[in-house]
Amino acid sequence: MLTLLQYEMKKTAFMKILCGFALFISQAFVMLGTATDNYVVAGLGAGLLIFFSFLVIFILGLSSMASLSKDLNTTQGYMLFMLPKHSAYFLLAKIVESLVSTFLAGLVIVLIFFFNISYFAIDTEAYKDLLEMFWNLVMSGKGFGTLSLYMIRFLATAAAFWIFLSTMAILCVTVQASIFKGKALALVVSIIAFFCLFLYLFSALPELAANISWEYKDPIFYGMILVLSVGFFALSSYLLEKQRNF
Amino acid sequence: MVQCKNLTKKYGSKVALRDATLHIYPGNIYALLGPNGSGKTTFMKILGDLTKQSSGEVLFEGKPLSIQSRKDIAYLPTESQAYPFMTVGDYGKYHKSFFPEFQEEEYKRMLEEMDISLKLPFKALSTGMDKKARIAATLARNAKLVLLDEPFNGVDLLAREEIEKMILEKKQENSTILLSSHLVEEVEDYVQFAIFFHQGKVLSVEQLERMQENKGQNLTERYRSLLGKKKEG
Repeated sequence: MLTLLQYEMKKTAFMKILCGFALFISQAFVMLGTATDNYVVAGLGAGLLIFFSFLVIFILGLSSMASLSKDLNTTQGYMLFMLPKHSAYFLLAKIVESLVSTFLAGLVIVLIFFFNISYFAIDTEAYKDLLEMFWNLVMSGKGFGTLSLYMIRFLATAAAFWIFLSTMAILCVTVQASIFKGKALALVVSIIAFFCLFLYLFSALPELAANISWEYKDPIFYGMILVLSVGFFALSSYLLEKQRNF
Repeated sequence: MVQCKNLTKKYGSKVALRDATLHIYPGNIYALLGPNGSGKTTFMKILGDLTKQSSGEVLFEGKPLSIQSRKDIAYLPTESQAYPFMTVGDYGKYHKSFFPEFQEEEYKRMLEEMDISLKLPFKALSTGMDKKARIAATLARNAKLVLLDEPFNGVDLLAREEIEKMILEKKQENSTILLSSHLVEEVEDYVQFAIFFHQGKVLSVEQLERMQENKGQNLTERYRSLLGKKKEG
């Protein structure tokens, strides 16, 4: 599994380098602008940094799906599908790679923002206060601290949604490349299907959640996401094993 | 070793392989012959488990194709499949990681004989060199059944001789080899069986020795008599 993961990382390396470069250039503009007191350049850098911070997350998710599409529609896929492993391994490696890359990109973006906050906080005492305030918030409440729990919950929810979206996208790409392979507009139809499914589920889930009492909301909501993700994943793996169409 | 019964593959409305029924016996080299689009590649892809048949049955050593059979069947596609970021050495390591039977030393030896450096990136290789490196990896897998799809396509005369030498070495290890080729005269010297394909159908499976004894035809003549007629018709 680790070897597969390694190769998945390498396959999307170019996109990662491109994303890193975009963030680096934006940050360079911020630094250059502040060093030369050119606030237009600094402002432009800050704007680009915020724009790329969102875009990078989106692109990294898309690049994993693009890599799967390439694997399923070009001879490059022979490298994977000739291996004596179940297709579920290949899909799992792609999901894990996507999740790890996005998490690491998120971490880099947070670090850049923290660096900028600390670098531009000329009043170090105020910065110290800010850190103290943050620390107190994190550790306040019972046990680990209420804010920490909220942060963990936020990360868990983000990861759950990421996996849910990934498995849904994987299913669309798989259906296009196995059942509808070679058919006209198969890719366009699969993208439209993905958005329709996405919109339908995202409107249906909160509606369903509204009818559930508060104490059961979380487990049922996460349970539903888990069941749907596992269902999409299992169906994609099954199609890739039983309906291979290279 | 391989039994196919009424094997059919459809891509939409196009029938790529139609009712193929044949047996492949171990320890032989088979030539898959026929014009372009006659079903040779589709047949190989089904055996390589890269595409599933629309109907019919295929058994490898008495069992349906499975994850296990992928270990024992090595397939060389016509087009390059290596990841663009890989070097020739990486390609060997990749195979070593996933196929425990892969003989890395054998792979290196074959590459050395063909003057291909392990450090060369795949994207920098010519068509011929790319094919030679991939053939070396396919043969080094030590598989029971080796499927070579047009191994001589886009390869110069000297490289062809090197590839032929590698194939014959593999044959001595008792592997079964299926190769498709348009160079009918060249493969005649070392194949034992020929499978003739035309428009997705298996026209005939013939043992070369018997063909010469019974019909008094060599492979080229047989090819002409079987497929020339079809073309005229």
